[in-house]
Order: sequence, then C-alpha cells, then structure tokens
Amino acid sequence: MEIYFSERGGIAVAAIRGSVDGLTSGALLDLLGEKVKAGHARLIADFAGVEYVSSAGLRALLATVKDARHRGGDLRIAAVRPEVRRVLDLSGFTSILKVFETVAQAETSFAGAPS
Amino acid sequence: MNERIAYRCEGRLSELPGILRFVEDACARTGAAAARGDLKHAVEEVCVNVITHGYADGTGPIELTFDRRPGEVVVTITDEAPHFDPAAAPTPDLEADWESRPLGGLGWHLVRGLMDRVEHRENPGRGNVVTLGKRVDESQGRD
Repeated sequence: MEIYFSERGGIAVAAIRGSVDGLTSGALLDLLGEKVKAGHARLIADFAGVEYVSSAGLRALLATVKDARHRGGDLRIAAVRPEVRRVLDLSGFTSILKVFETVAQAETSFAGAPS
Repeated sequence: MNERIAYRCEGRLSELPGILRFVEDACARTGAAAARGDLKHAVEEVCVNVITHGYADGTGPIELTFDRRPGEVVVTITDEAPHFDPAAAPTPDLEADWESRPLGGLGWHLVRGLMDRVEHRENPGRGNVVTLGKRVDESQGRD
C-alpha cells in the first residue's frame, strides 16, 4: 500500500494505492490519525488506486471517521472501484460513510460545512 | 480438470503477501481468474484471524490447499491454533449508526458474503480446518 497526501482548500486528500489489508491497515490508521490530530479533521480518501479493503482496513477507516467526526470534520471516500464498493456494501459501511464518485465531488460536499 | 496446489508458511503477518500471491497464481494457473479477488480477500480474512487471534501468543504453521474442481475452487486453510468455530463469531449489526458501530468484527461476515460455502472443523487436540468454496462460471472459458 502507498499513500500520497495533498491538500486542497484546507482538506487533506489521501490518495491510497494497493491493498488495505491486515498487513497495511495499521499504517493507514496511523497516517490518517496523524493528519486528524494535526488539525486536518476534514479528509478525503481517494480510493481510485485501492484494489481491495479487508475487515482490518474497514476498521482503520471507521476509527478515522469516528475521530474526525468527533472533531467536527469527516473522512469521505471517493472514486471507489466496484469490487471495493461491494465490500463496503456487504459491511453496511455505505450507510455510515459518505462515498462520492470523484474527489472533486467529495471536496464540494465539504463546502460551507463548518470545519 | 481436478488440480491441487499446496502452500505452507509460518503464521506471521509478514507472510501475507506470499499467501495472497499463492492464491493469485493458483487462480491464474487453473483458469479461475474470475474468482481471484473474492478468494484472495476471504483467504486474507481467515489467515489474519489465525495469525492475530489463533496464534496471538506465538506462531505456528498455516497450510493452504487450492483445489480446482469443475465449476468450483475449494481452498482449505489448516492451522494448529486453539479451536475456534467461526459460527461463534457474533453477527455484526449493520444498521447501527457510526457512533455505536464497533471497530472490527466484520471478518467472518465478509468471508460468508464473499464465498459460496464456508465450513469449519476441529482437528483432534488442537487446530482448525476452514474450507472455502467459490463457484466459477466455466462457460466463460478458462482464462
């Protein structure tokens, strides 16, 4: 798994590539957690390069969502591949996470919301 | 077209890439590429459970066999960890809101959702054998 951070208008965008699984989910949790603790409570995870997410990866995502929302922000997911979308659906995550077609749409969704 | 391919490694998280490559290669070799993604995912969930829970106090072997049968792939995962019946894993509440949703507890739920068949049996004394079955549509031809 690789993760590249950029920033757009105060929103941290994490472009993730590879598998978010039992081996890599700890690193994802740490890296996203650092961003949230550094004051970036508004985050977008760009999933265009994510091949699959296991339950360990879902755990890291949910932990980050909870952390960000408790600080008045959110972690929103963008550009999810169909096979990953299926796992999000199976896990009931599509009802608790905000998932967008594109990073731009996720960005827009934050506009006007209090940070 | 019955083929059997086996793999054995230590139950450590660092072995996961090798385990997943084994499943990937076995699917490619036996014309089961369509089942590859779901099988890799289910095998990952089972092996991570064995490594992080079953072998929580140390390590032990994990053995995989990949059986390609007409219309189906069957993967068995054998460990020497204490007995654990996945039927005992609680069913997650998928309707709960984000605040009350617990972290974790989705592994076996996903395995059941991704596979057509999930079975477990205990070896005498210690050890578990988990059998995962995934149908393969042969009408699409072997790729």
